[in-house]
Amino acid sequence: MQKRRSIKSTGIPENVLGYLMVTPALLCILLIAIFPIIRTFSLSLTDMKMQFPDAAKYIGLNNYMKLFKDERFWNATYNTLFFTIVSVAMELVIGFAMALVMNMPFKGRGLVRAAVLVPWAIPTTISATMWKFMYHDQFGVLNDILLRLGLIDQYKSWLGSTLSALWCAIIADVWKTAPFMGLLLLAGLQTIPAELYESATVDGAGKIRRFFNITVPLIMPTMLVALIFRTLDAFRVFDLIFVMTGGGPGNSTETLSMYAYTMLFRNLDFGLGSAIAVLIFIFVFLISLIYIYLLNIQND
Amino acid sequence: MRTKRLLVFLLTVAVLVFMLSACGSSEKSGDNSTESQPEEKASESKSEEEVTITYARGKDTTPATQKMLEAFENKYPNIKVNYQEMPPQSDQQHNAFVTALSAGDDSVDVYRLDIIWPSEFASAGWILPLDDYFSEEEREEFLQGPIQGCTYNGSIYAVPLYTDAGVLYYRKDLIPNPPETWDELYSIGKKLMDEGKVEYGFVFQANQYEGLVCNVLEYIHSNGGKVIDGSNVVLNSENAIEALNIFKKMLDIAPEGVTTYIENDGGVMFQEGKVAFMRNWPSWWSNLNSDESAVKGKVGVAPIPKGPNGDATGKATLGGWNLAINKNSKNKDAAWTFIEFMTGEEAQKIQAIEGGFLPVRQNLYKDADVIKANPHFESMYDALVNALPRPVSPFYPKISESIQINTHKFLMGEIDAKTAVENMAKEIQEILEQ
Repeated sequence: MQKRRSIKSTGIPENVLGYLMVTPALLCILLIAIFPIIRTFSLSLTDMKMQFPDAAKYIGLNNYMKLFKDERFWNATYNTLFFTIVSVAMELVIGFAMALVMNMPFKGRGLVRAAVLVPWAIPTTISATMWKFMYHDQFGVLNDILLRLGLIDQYKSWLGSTLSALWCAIIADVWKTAPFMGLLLLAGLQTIPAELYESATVDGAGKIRRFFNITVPLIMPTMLVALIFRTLDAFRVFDLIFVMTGGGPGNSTETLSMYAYTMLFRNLDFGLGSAIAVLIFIFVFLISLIYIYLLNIQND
Repeated sequence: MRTKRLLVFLLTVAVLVFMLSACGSSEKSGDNSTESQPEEKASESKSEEEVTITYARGKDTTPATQKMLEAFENKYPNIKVNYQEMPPQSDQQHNAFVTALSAGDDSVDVYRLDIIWPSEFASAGWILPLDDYFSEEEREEFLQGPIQGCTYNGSIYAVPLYTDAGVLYYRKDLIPNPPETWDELYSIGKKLMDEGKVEYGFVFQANQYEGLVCNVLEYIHSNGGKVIDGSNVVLNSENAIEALNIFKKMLDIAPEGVTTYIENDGGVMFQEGKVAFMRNWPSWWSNLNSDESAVKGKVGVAPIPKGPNGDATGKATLGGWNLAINKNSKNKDAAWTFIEFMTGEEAQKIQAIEGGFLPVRQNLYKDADVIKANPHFESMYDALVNALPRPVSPFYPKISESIQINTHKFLMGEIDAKTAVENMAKEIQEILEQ
């Protein structure tokens, strides 16, 4: 009672007061999220180059037109999509398998659950350096094993071939992030009540039937959330490829994030670099919309 | 319903997090509008008053920098130097410097710049032109390649601190006379491989990175080719095409993974005695002659070979580091005193003897103390005098990128030499015209 009176005494209507109170938070968001986006977009409409900051002028959508005609941009887009789709698909399958195993009661299960997280816990730059060394043509362990097994007759340069370099990066990414997918899915599996399986068994459903009619539909929402996390992450892949190949060989592993970084910070071309950043933003927005749409279908 | 709300919430968070990290990079651009202030006349320095200047350079793993700073402070007790160590990779230093300088920062007075940066920093108005301080007569005492690399639009913007140029290391126990041409190098390397004396004939740096530019330019320059002449792109020539083909031929006698190699990969193999020839930087000399090295005492060093249409000598690519003054520095005169000392004979000698860095003053290559500490310097002098800088342009990073991508595509067999050269010439022309 006391409180309500004090509000009234200020003479400010309650809803206005409410808005007043969220204003600081809104300002914060505006400053750290909305402002950079608008700034990036406005920069992308100029030919701003750090070497000649005063000569920057408005050039409309020219940067975007340039990118649409730029073979390198499409190559980077293709690499990014290929990397995202293949690595997320592999992570989903492997992660799901891991989750199913970890969901079964067995001795040392807690230890296994902790142990699978090790690759996820290693910083990407470090695991990328580690994989780069394993793929090395002279000192790498991969060549050594394959040669001993007789699968190859001489050392191969895995990161030095346009055919294998992107796959090498995908394998390193799957190694690192499949456990994360596995743990998310495991959490989903554990929310499925055991009674469902019991009654289905009583009704005569076999293992496969139970998997497809109970596990898969009930884990779908968790899976979609896990997928959106990983898809957005994979789409922005930067450090892994930056360390492993630097975009080579022959630019066959350059991704959109790397292209944007190179344009912005190495070449200091803020106009074009911002345009790439804006396009990445739009791509990601579209991916998110698709997932949200799928989630809504799921829930209805 | 509750799960739905939760999921929508999670998605919103995910999207927000993404937006932040994707745009975090460009966020910095917000405060990048450098205010070009009218150039101040260097303030009169009062010699009695004590000033502190800040010097930023990448980490020096040798004791040289420390000793040079001590010598400086002994000689100029009224100038204190605050030594700011930067990360070792040159790309990271570049990022740090660009971020600070574009925001008009004045906390650092003297920057150490890679030979490919002065024109970029000069055109952006971040560093002070030094014409008034650094006379043309004084410049003549320096090696001319580095001076050229520090000159932009007719003004000098930095003073060379130490230099670097590609050299050819060879196994003098297997090869009595180093090759003078690329063809000789190829046939000697191949012969030693066939005889089983070495595993590979030649290692160099052919990963898609800056080092590839240094390597490929040596073939082009040593075969009478050139990238830029004044403001014209003159790369598209028969000589350049031929040079590229010679470069690619070297892949036959190199390890398969050489197209992923940077300095260290080949250096370690050469150190293990697996390779007959290596193109690398002079600083590898001490590693190759250390106690862990299998080739200790068996290493010779020679200038880069030449191509069939080149001059009398091969042309190494110039590296090296240079000192420049921040345009916003409040202690420009003290900063100049510091640079003058660091690039003067006394400090240059300390640098060469304590750190093994190649001096920038010509006369030091005949100095008894320097040669005693670094006997290999004498044979490197010719390579240094003939070394050429990479194209000098404020847009050098883009030029470098075009050379890297096209050369690497060519080495991977995706395009032929003619297409590679044409692509580079066309792209570099566009970069210069922008």
